Amino acid sequence: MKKILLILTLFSFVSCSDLTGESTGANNLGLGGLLGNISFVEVGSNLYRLEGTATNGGDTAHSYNLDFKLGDSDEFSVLLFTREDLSGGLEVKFTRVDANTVKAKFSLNGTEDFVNFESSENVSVVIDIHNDENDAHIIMWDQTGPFGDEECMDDETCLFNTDHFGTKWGSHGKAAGSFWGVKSIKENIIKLEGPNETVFNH
Amino acid sequence: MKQFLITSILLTSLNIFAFDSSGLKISLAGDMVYDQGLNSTSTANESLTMRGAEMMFFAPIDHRFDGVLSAAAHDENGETVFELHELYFSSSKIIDRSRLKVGQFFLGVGRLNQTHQHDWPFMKAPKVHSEFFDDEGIFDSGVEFSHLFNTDRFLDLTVGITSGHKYGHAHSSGSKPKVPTHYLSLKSFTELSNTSGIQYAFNYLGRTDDEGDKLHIPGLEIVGKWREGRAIKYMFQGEAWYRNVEDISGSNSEQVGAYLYNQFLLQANTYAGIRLDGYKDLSKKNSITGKKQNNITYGVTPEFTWSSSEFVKIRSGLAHIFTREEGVTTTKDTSLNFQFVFILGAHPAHEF
Repeated sequence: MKKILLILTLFSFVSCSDLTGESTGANNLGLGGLLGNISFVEVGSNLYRLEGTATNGGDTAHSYNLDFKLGDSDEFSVLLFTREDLSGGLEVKFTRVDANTVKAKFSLNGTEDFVNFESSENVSVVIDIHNDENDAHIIMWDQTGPFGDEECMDDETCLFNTDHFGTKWGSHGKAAGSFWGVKSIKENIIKLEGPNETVFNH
Repeated sequence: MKQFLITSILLTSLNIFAFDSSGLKISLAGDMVYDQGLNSTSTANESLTMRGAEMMFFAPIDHRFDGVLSAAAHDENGETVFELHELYFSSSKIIDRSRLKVGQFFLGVGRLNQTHQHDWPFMKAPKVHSEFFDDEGIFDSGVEFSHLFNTDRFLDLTVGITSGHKYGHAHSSGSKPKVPTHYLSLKSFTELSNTSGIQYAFNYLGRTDDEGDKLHIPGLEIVGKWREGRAIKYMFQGEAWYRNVEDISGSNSEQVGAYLYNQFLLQANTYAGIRLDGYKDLSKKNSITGKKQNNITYGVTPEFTWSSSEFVKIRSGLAHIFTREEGVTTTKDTSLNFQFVFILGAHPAHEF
């Protein structure tokens, strides 16, 4: 009964500006700093929430381009489709294995997995997350491509793909929210872009 | 695709001698679409796509039960994916004024969700339907019960409970939810004359997934038809839905959407229709200022339909869909669309 009243109330209180999508000033950021060429707000020690909210309450698909430096003892994490406090989303944590190899660890709702891939000091990847599927479909490519389809398994076209039979992925559910952020020292961040249209389209 | 063809041939050949005596009916439906982008940001794929090929078998099983099997091959990013849509048995002869359905089926909630895509009065799903119920509809395995109340006013209540292991597009078998998918639909009908009437319903669907996220989708639907002889002279159809997802931290994500479709008979077998869609993300916030971002998506879709018979439909139309956010048009998609639908064999009876 409460929900019926809410629906009827919503329709009766929708204003003209709601129907025209007019500006309310929500996107007026003022003069703020940029991190990787994107506006940010600091929410913790080396933890930053970034400008850009996923559409449809997070029940959608987006891609994110990440360019950062990763030295021997450095760590860089990107948090995607999170709640406002950057919890509950997909975390991809990058650490260096050796001069030419980087490890990316993927964590979502208690499921963890990792992949090692070739990279110099400057890491440049693009991550698709299709959070509008029953279990979020996550794919990562080197930004230089080529960008293979969802059948890719190894480093022929993509670096990581949750959509394989016989893996631990497949019952991990969705990421919780629509925000994104990074955990890293500022000096290592080169360029960040997102949320963009997905690289791979179902 | 090979699986679809082999299965079709096998099932047809096995049942060919049972055709007349068992009342087995077979229906094969083909649905083809072509979208031509008309602006630079259109997402039209500009390729004649075999959107769906569906086969349906239905027949009385015995004097109490009926059976239905439907399977479809769909185009998914250029690949043809074969899947079982419906496999259920049902009965309207066990409990008076009631129907029981057990198996896998499109959930009995909403107007479009219960109708096969090739039978829709328009080409594409309204945004609210594709966002809340996937591109064609939500189907699941479980039990559904409907009862027509013995009242002067037409009042039909459908309730269902299904596994809820999956909801929407899935590449896996999903996970056991904390609360399975459950739904109800309360329909009523007002007869305006011998040849016209309006049906309306309140619908609700809920589920709590294995992560503890609670999904609530209440909605309203309405359909009105005015007939002239066998033809539908005028028809309108609309649905309005609200979705709330509450996660384990207590934060809520809310969206609301609706569509209204009007269709007019121009001349014999030719119809003109126009659909208006609207959709809002009520909880979208700017991640830096923390303020709610005003947004709305509109769709305007005029279409023409020519039906050679109830077994063939050819449609053409325009679709203009745009999104505005905080005073800025963020997406604009204009396309010219065509659809070709044919049905071979029997055609199940339509609801009102």
